[in-house]
Amino acid sequence: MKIRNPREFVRDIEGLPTLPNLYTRFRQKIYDPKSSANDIAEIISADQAIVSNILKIANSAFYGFSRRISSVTHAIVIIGFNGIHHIVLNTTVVKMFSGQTQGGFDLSRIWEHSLGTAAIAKYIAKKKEQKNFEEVFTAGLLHDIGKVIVFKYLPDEFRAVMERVREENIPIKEAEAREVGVDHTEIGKCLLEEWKFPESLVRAAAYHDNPVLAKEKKTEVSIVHLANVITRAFEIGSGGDDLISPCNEDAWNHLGFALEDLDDIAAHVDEALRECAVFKDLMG
Amino acid sequence: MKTVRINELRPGMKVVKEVKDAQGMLVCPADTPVSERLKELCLRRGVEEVWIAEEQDAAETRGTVRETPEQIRKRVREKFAPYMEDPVMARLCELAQEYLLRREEM
Ligand SMILES: [Fe+2]
Ligand SMILES: [Fe+2]
Repeated sequence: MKIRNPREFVRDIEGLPTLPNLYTRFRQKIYDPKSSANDIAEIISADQAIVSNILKIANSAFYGFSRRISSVTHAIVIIGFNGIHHIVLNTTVVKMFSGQTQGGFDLSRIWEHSLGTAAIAKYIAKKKEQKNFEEVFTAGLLHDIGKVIVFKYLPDEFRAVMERVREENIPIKEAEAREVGVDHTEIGKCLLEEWKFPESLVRAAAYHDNPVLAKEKKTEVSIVHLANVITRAFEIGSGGDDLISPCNEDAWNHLGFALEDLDDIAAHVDEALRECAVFKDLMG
Repeated sequence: MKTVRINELRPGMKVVKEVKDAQGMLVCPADTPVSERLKELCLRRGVEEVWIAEEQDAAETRGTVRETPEQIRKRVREKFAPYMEDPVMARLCELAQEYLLRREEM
């Protein structure tokens, strides 16, 4: 099958799970300026799995708080609305699409690449003193969601893509364009738009290989771009092919880093991965 | 003998016990060498694990036979070769080598 219109494709995918009701209600409350931490906690409390995930993450090295957080309300107050939104969002999506195998390729390797990108993006965001580091983390975690969609819903095409990558040693994006008609960045963009996810996530999925095109959310997109480049270079999980993807000059300049900053990021990669290890459990 | 998951199978390994699917139908006989085709067949028939010989150790099941430090350096440099004129990529190439060597030691 060749996709002509990725937007229609994501709308019509057979068996694509819809966003859980609970998440949609939760999002409405988060965006409502009149909501209190208690209102939001009340919605979340309907799902014990989400409650336990939030507490697990809030008490993990991801935040590194010294005091124990024992209730969702407390977590919301400490982490803030935006932070909690992204935690709920990314745990929800990861749960919808976690591991399995296709044509000898293990989906968990894409997730490992995504988590690596997310963890490094989080470190870079904190280095840049970005307050919305959970958002940048989530943008990293979902930047390749289009690959996951092809993997899960177009298994024959995915197998053909992987074969082409292996035989011709070309970037996965090129193989996707030939076998599927569009690549994972377009599919990811359309899916996240369809789900009305925050603009930074949509743009990171769309432009992580070509951050110049991101007119808005340029910092977030540039961070995810650099994190993706490092994750591939350091061979953390699999981006689908084993090739290096070059760092975009414009994105690098936008971040205002010097080579010493790259040394610093590289020196903190393992620590960043450890801090985000809690998400590995959620991926099953 | 030990069992490994299908996605951990690599060419060069050998399946030592016959493989049957959930309905008891034969997927492959004992002593079948691992190939991409065999892996695909197992996946299609819903087989999750197969038996391989014990000496095909952890390094092998991880995907690659253990590389020497020199091989790692050479492989990384080759991958970066088209981008070495960019100082950021040249530095990243050095850092990636160090990182992968450190990871290999652990
Ligand atoms: Fe990508
Ligand atoms: Fe990626």
